[in-house]
Amino acid sequence: MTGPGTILFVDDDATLCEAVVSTLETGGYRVLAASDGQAALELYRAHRSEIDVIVSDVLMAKLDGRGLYDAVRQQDPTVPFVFSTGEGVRAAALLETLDADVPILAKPWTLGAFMRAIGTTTKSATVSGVDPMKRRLGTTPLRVFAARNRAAEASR
Amino acid sequence: MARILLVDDNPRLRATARKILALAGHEVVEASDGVEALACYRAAPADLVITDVYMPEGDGIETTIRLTQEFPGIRLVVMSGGGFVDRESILETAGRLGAGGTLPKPFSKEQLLAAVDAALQVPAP
Repeated sequence: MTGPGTILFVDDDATLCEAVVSTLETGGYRVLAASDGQAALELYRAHRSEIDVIVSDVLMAKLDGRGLYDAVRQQDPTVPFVFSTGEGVRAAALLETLDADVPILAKPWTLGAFMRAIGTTTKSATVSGVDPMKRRLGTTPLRVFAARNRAAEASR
Repeated sequence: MARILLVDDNPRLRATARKILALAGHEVVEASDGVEALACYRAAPADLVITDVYMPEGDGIETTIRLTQEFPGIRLVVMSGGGFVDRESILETAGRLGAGGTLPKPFSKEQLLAAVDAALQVPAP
């Protein structure tokens, strides 16, 4: 495992993916990124033992986030999973009957909210959520990250 | 009493709910979809927003996300007649995305007023 933990991040928004990868890698995390659920599932199967948490968008081509969740939970019912969504009722419908302990992040989220969600879902001491980011990034990159996240959302 | 923004694409439901809320002493502002609701709230924030889920322009889930992001702590009740899985399942998701209260449809006058009272008990942001 590299750094404080490995995150599988799944979103069809390339700008958001790039922002997450660059920011979290600066914080010492290893990030595996995929643009749809099917690609994420393949990454999960290839790196299952290394992944500490999966953060996934909901509405995506090929395999949506709920399909990804169901597939990985079938293989490992305890894999930490966080949903990230800014879409409306179409995405919400896919999240119905979701286990109560699975966090849902409403986009556009801040890096702080992102890290808190990861912190609440993972039992791994290596992905503790906040401290490694605070220590390594300080405050300015967080603002930059949040601005980029919002800009990515606004351009949709 | 409170100023309430009521959001639903069904004018008949809005008229009935408005009557109930007005009789209870509330001022009611209406919007017929989420896009109109966002514009209304930005122009003049209300004490409480009550929104339907399924609407053609800016559904209630998207509206919940937008309003709670833009106005943290906003008092918001989401109402719906049913989700994909069962009557209340979409409301559970709405709650996890920031709605402080939920109200399954159809609701009685008492249930509407109880949901409003409960939402207004939460301190204003």
